[in-house]
Amino acid sequence: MTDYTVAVCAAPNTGKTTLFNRLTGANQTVGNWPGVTVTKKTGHFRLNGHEVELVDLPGAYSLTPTSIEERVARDYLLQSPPDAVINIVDAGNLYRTLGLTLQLAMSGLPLVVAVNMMDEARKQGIEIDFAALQEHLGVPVVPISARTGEGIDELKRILREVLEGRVKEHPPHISFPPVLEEAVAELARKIEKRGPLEFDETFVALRLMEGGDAAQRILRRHPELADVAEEAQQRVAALAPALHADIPTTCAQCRFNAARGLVQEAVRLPSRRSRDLSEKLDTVLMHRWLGLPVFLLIMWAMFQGVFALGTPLQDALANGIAWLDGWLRASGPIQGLPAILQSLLLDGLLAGVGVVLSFLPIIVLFFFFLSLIEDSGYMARAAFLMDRLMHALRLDGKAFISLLLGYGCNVPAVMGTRILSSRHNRILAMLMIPFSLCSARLQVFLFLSAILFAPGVAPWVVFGLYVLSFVVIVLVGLLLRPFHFGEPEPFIMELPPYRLPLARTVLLRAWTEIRAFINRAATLIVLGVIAIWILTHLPPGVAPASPESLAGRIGHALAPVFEPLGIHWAETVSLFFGFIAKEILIGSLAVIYGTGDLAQTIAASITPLEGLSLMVFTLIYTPCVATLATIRSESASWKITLLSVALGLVLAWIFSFLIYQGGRLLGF
Amino acid sequence: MSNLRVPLQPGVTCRVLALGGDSRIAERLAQMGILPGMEITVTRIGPLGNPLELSVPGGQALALRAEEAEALDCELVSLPLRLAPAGDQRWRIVSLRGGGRFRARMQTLGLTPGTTLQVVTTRPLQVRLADGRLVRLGAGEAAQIIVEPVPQPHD
Repeated sequence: MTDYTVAVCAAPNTGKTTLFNRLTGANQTVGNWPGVTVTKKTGHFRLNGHEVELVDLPGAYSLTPTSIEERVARDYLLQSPPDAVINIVDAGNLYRTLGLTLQLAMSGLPLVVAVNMMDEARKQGIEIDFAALQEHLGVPVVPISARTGEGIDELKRILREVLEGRVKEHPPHISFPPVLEEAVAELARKIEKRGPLEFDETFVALRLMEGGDAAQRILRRHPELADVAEEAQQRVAALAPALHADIPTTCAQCRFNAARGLVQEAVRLPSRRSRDLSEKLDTVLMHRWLGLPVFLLIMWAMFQGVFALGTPLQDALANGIAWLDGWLRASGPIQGLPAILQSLLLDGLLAGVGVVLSFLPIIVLFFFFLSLIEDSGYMARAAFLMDRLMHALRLDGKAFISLLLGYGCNVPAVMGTRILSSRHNRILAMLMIPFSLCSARLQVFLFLSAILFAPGVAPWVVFGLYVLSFVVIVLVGLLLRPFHFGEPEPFIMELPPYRLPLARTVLLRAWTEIRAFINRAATLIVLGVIAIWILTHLPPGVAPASPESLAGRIGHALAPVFEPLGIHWAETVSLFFGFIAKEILIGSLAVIYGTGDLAQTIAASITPLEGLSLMVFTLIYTPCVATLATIRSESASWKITLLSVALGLVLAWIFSFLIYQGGRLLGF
Repeated sequence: MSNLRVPLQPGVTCRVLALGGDSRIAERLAQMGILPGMEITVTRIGPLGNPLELSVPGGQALALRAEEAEALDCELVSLPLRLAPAGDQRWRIVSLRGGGRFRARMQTLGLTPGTTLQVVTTRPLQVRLADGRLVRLGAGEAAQIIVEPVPQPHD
């Protein structure tokens, strides 16, 4: 049972994840905040015999949101105020992070401020007067270093005192322009009269003046404040001509003025700042001409790392499943079952589990490298370098890495869209990734092109498919240009200093991602595989994938649709199997054609043009079940998932049609 | 001075006057603590000309797209001499980047922090010093000389 709920709320790049890991260890779960594409991380730890649930709020610069992450953080704090909040500030740059701290301190929620990265600040010669900081903020302030573990025990001790109500906190006062100050004070008095709230009255008054979602969240908990909210809006309207900017900007200005004063009083900077490592690294890594080649080299190394290491592991797992399948087939209890049940268990359920397992090595490796790139601070640089190119597709620079990784495997690439900013970017990238020519598709293309084309031509066919894949991605980007998936967000990205990634953080990330994949996508994948089993093995008694099976009948029914593409009944059925995993397409053709040498049979029954059309269709049509399940879990939307399928099927048909009919016109 | 165009090029520093333009950008910057009165410097531009890397006081580095940065109302604080337009505008040398040898050479030319000059032609770069002397500078040298605009008498 959870005794206390504590939220970690901090600006990006303050070491939030490191502190979170430090406090909870591997005891954490990853999910989505309801209805949005923002990751929700929760963990548990024990504090003096009490069970504490730690909620990792998305990175936020402010509780007046300008991004989906900030909205999630704000809504959480307003709707379900936790028992305490841990706020983290960057010892190396207090000003940047104090805006949020002041807002949190003003909220009246029990707060502990952790001044992180003390080790780095000390090295730079920065001195901080913690007593002054604590006095002005009115809440406990603890110097820590989440990386080294310094101050963590003290943080826990203070947190316990705060949770037990033994610390008297007094929200700081921030001066606003007189007219605003007066209005806020009057509203606060009215709020105070309605009885005690979990928030400070001034903070509530400001939220009501901000209006919109912020006011609504307050009113949802406190409907009795409806009339004050109305008055607040009237006052805002009356104040507007007297202020130079809107209320949120005015408040931000006042807050940061206070922050600047606080920094001046509490921080002593070294007289001479040496050019630090980040600046030196950036002169090469961000160089106008060298930057891109170095980036491509790093991407190549990452790609190699993921797939050169991952493929043998995948094969080993596949062999393991094959062995288990054989062993189960021969085992007594399975043999005792009716044939149809046997097949359901082995060809449906076990095959589904096999598909899930086959992704695990790739996901571990992918997130291992991704988190190296992210934690080191290079990700922001990569996004900087690629932004111009990706902006043409209305994406930002980070999306390049997601799209590129899709050429290895769509599943981790879709999972990786989480690093992108704004829901729009995430959804758009998710819809584009399935058109990249992944390694599974490559297997099919290598096999078919070797059979159907002369040795000199086959590599060009595969190359052409890569080009086509690229063209389709750009086309999808252009097609979706007019659509907005969620609020558009301006591109303002911090370039954090380079840091050495922590092994612990990197490994924990890989581990939690694996668990998240199993929890969130595995069921859908197994169900998808079983659905295909039903289509190909039922009604009872038919030979699998035969013309009498459901898939066979559907294949025949669909003949008018597929004939114009030069795709015959047998290949149509194999496309069903390709939905499980694209590389299965080949194996399924062997089953469908029955006995004989597969290569010879294919060469005899498919012309090169028909084969090309089949390959194009395979490239573009619906993403495989694992990708779809991941799109569903990442987008938290069936609409987007269905759109992905529809987009694939329609574009596949169009391209195959153009290529097949065009080829015929040219006389092939 | 605000009538001087602020070129968004590496080395240019400007002061934010107002967070106008696209209000979403303005809101975001305000919430990140980038507010009127602050001086921001363009550190570098991305390959292909976009985005910009800006540094703000405290050492924070931000990436912003040029079209969004242009929406900010900024006045020019200083820029590398290489980017100064030719004309009547007088410029004062704020600092000389670069090593001792470079400084020594500039010293012999009469260019030290505090020197005021006018840009006569930009290509080749010729400047006229207060005493009327004409000095020719290389583009590489001009990139290392940071100048600020001197207010015009009629301003």
